[in-house]
Amino acid sequence: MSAPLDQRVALVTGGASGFGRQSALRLAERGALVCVADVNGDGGRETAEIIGPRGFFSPLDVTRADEWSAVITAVIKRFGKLDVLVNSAGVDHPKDNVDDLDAKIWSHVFGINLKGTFLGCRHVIPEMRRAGGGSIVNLASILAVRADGGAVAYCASKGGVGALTRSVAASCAERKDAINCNAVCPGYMMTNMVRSALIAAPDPAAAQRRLESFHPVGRLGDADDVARLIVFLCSEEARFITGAELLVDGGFAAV
Amino acid sequence: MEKQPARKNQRLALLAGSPGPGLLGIAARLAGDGVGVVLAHPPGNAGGADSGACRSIRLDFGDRAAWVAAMRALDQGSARLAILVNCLGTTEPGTVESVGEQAWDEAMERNVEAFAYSCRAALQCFGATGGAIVNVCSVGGLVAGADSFLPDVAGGAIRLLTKSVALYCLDRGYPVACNCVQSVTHPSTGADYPSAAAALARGPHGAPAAADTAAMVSFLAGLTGCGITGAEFIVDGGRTAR
Repeated sequence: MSAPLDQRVALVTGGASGFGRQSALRLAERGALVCVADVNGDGGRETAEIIGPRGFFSPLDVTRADEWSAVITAVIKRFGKLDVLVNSAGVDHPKDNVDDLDAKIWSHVFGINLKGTFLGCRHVIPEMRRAGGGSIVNLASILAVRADGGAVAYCASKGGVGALTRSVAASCAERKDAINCNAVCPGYMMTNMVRSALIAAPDPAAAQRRLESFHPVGRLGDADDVARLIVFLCSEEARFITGAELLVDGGFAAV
Repeated sequence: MEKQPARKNQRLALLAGSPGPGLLGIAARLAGDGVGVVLAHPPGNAGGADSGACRSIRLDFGDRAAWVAAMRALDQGSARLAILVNCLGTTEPGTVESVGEQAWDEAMERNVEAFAYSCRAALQCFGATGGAIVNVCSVGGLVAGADSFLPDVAGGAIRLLTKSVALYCLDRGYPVACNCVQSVTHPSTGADYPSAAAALARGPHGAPAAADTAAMVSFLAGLTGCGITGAEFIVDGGRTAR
């Protein structure tokens, strides 16, 4: 298991569900103080309630710089510092191929997945510098490594997250900021996002079998597979890991 | 005797970007290959006069409909639009902290979203005979610089956008080769991307010239099938081999 995260302060976006919720719960379990941030107030408050007194909920639309300022102010007021950011908020779109692409789809997917990650990194780095260092974990995707013809904006946004992560890591390293920045690339996991896509498919069972076939281990992963890696990356044990894209994909990209 | 439709013999390339020496070098190389070249540059851009074998048009890269209209207008007479070369990148230096929100929005619209719209338009205009799409971006999408945040992020996005478009074409039987060139020099201006100069000093074979990028574009623009598609071609003087 990872080293304890006692008294480290974490901000987790997309904390109402999926990877974000599971990461928030795992970080708290390992001793971190956690701010659960999300546009989904009900889900976000529920995650914070599960965590208990070591957590609280703060509303956050990741595409808005003013809301990032507000949530960081709330974290500093509550816990006095900020050590960890997990950029987990993300979306896909069912009509995301190059023929159907329009400005609305592009703006929605790119805004949340990539601009939200940019704004998050931009806002937390000064606070982490004040705290003497920190860890940033950005949720990319297996589609940042292997593309899908039906997900052009999603692939581009996640490819951008991988490159953004390397760039942030490089600039923080050059400044000797002691801030690690890494990206996690999950394969297909049984989260609400994937579950919704399967339900919408003409034959959900066949669609699930197809997704499972991409992974040599023969099954989809779950949010905890990702959350455990995120907790490790936020720990002291991962202090020499930065600018990396780490796959959690059941062997997807290996074959 | 029934009149036969004119056969379209000459291949046309739409070459999009700012008309600097790098872009003109690519244009000259393609023209030397026997391809008709049309340079597309944004309305506010200086220069852009017709030069030699190349025509020049103004095009709002962020306008989805304008891309289709421009390509349809080109695809007339004896020439057939068969090649799209995107050189829309940015060289603006900066870090995640120094780049403002407005600069981010403008760069992503101009450098990534416009690539998607141009690819979409090309698929609509190439027709059954197909064509080649070549997206040119910074090698920073693979290997980051400390002071090249926007070109790095745009490069990373364009890499995966290219692969997604290539797979979409394969899935639907479109005979389109869609590939990505990653360069240390900006495809339009011929200038190095930020941080590239320092990295090149460590490169095994020194700095590649703009002509190296033009040669790679020429090769990829000549592809007629899909045997080589969704791939990345790096022109970096060995930088990423380290």
